[in-house]
Amino acid sequence: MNFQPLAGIRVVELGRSLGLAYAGKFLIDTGASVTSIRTLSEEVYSHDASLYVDVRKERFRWTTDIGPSLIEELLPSTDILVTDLSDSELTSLDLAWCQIRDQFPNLVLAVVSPLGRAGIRGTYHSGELAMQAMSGLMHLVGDPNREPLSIPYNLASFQVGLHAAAAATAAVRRRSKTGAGNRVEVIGVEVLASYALSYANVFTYYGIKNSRNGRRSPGSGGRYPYAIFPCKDGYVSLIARSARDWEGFVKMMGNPQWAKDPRYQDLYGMAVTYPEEVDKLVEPWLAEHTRDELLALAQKFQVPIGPVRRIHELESDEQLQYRGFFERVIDEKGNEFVVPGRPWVTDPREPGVLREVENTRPKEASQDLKG
Amino acid sequence: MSPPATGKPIPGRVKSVPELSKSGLGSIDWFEDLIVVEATIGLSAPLTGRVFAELGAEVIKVESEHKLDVNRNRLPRESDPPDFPNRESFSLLHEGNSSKKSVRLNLKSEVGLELFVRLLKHADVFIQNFVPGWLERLGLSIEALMKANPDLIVLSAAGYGQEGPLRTQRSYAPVMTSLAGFDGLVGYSDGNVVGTMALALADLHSAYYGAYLVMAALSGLPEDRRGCHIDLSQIEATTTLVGEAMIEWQRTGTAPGPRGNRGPKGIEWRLIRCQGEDSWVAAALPENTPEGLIEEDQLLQSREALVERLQALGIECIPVLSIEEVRTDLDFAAHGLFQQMPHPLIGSVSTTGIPWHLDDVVPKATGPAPIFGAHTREVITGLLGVSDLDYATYKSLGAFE
Repeated sequence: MNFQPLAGIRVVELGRSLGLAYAGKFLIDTGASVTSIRTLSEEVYSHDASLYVDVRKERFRWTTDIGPSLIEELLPSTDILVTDLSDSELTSLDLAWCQIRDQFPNLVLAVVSPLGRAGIRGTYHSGELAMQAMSGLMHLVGDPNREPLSIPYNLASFQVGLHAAAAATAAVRRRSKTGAGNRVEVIGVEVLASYALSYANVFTYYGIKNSRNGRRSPGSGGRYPYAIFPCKDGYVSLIARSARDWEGFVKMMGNPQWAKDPRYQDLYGMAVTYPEEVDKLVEPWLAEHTRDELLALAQKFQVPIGPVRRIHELESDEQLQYRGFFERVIDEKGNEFVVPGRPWVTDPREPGVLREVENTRPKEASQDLKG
Repeated sequence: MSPPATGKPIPGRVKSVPELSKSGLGSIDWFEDLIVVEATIGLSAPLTGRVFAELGAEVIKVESEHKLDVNRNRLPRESDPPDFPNRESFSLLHEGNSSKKSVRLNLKSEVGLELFVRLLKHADVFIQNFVPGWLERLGLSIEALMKANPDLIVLSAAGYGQEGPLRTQRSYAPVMTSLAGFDGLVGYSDGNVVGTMALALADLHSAYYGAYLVMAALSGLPEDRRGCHIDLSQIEATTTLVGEAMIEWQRTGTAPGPRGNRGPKGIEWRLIRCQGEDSWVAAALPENTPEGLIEEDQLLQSREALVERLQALGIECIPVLSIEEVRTDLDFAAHGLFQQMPHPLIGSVSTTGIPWHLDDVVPKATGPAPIFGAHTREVITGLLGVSDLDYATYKSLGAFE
């Protein structure tokens, strides 16, 4: 099955951030066509990121010569305008919502920002770091006696794009019922804060302090184990949410004598009061097994174990291979790279090509859009 | 449950208080014409359904005594009195299921299954995340359901997808972030993995991925719009988070691992300890940062002063908020990031909001997670038009266990 429900939907992404570019990627992945107009000559995100998110886009650099006319040319045939420009920038381009909603009544406007567009936080210099730091997420990651840890690469920008694509698509569906476009807004820090809070509420529920706890979830989330452990060739995550899970682990370890002690059947006590004591009983056994051995045992005993994979190991994962998950992208020099594909079953597609950024607009493309 | 926002000023942010944005909580009716039926457990797939509920859809969670949602079956707290309704109280139950209806159907009974199929004939969307094969064990299949209702959009959101050697492997969010290579990237610069055990990112990320795909299926141009089956794999959705890292590995020949606090373009992200318990400021310091700009010991400085000083120099610099600070933040509260609702059995519950502003309105949760089976009679006699007499017969035959 080829799942491309947004085929025929035209999107313009206008601005500079990676979150914006991710929104375009998600929309392309479901069939939309995306014209990307970048407002700065300086690249604000890495070429690696661009190769992942900007393939299959028609890309232009904003210049005073072509920018305004390009917008004027594109908007009549655009379904979604997604932008991270500030309100003042949009106003100066005659693109503020109050300026365009009457002229283009079918248009959906999706605006994104790291910290919002109002108040002092809207004036802050902000990006990926600000979104992670202010959301509560970073405070929960890392060792308790060290500084908080950030998530590498661009988790927040990714989520901004995903939520913007979803909210904009909801507005497209709304438009099909009312005939009118809507304005949707996604604020990155709020998305990450909603993520951090959702699970933090679990710790609050069990009276566990919400604080970073190294490789272990705070208070093991109320039941032991809930942590990443070292093993023979790396690390594995072990999670038990029920007595059945823990019994499965114990059986997997060969029913050691210590596990018969009622002290090691009290899931809450092991989780909150003496997890390190239980770690000392479990870790020697784990140290004798590789990640793959543990995954095989996990399948046999039906317990949740996840090997901590390294990036270079992903492509050979048998489950991901089976489903034909990975695909290829090609950079401007013709080099091919394997990247994560679309996480649902759909027909394979040609490798995505990262096109050069154009400074002028091809006439034929312009006429095609006008037509 | 979470305390309400108290208005306590947040260091480093106090000046934002007078200038809140114009967005506020309100009801959204964008999907009021939609009926969503779900057979889901846990957080991820239920949260997908909740997004539709808070955009106006009627979302019906089909549940059974024989297959309880794990979030209705959590370990009681020591402080809970003997008659405390644990089945209705757990935080993740409300995170995933606020604003829905609950219909109790025993799908292992012939009559329960019959009503389930009838319900799906009325549905626009069906969301399910049980272990692949469960429908077949009941004598159903996705294909049969779509044949009965050709316009039905089905989202299957299992951990590993519907096919493949690991399809029946049990999965929790931290297992998925580990398998996806994500946790292996998180740690200090000593290279040891720390991971993200407190976050369960895979659940939340996959929930919104699923919501997006269903919205896309609903939003296609009219001539292309039709029922379909979306086979979403949560492990694959989580793996999409490491696309940039995969490219870096192929470009450099070195598999990336933990690298401490360092930005995507190699910029140092300095964490500076400030006045107060576990109080930090994060700053993205450019390569040409002058010597002495950041004093090694900022313990006598407030976060506010440091943030102001570095922001004035054009440096991305921000306080690292704790969860309690996020909960008491006025801007977040004004935008409905956490919402409190009365609950008929446990007083009140709070839940996290859907973080979207739709024409400046943030979706308001219309109620807590439904009490188990609370809407069974309403839906079966209302939506399905079953008479009271027949309802009693179905009940006597075990349809609603």
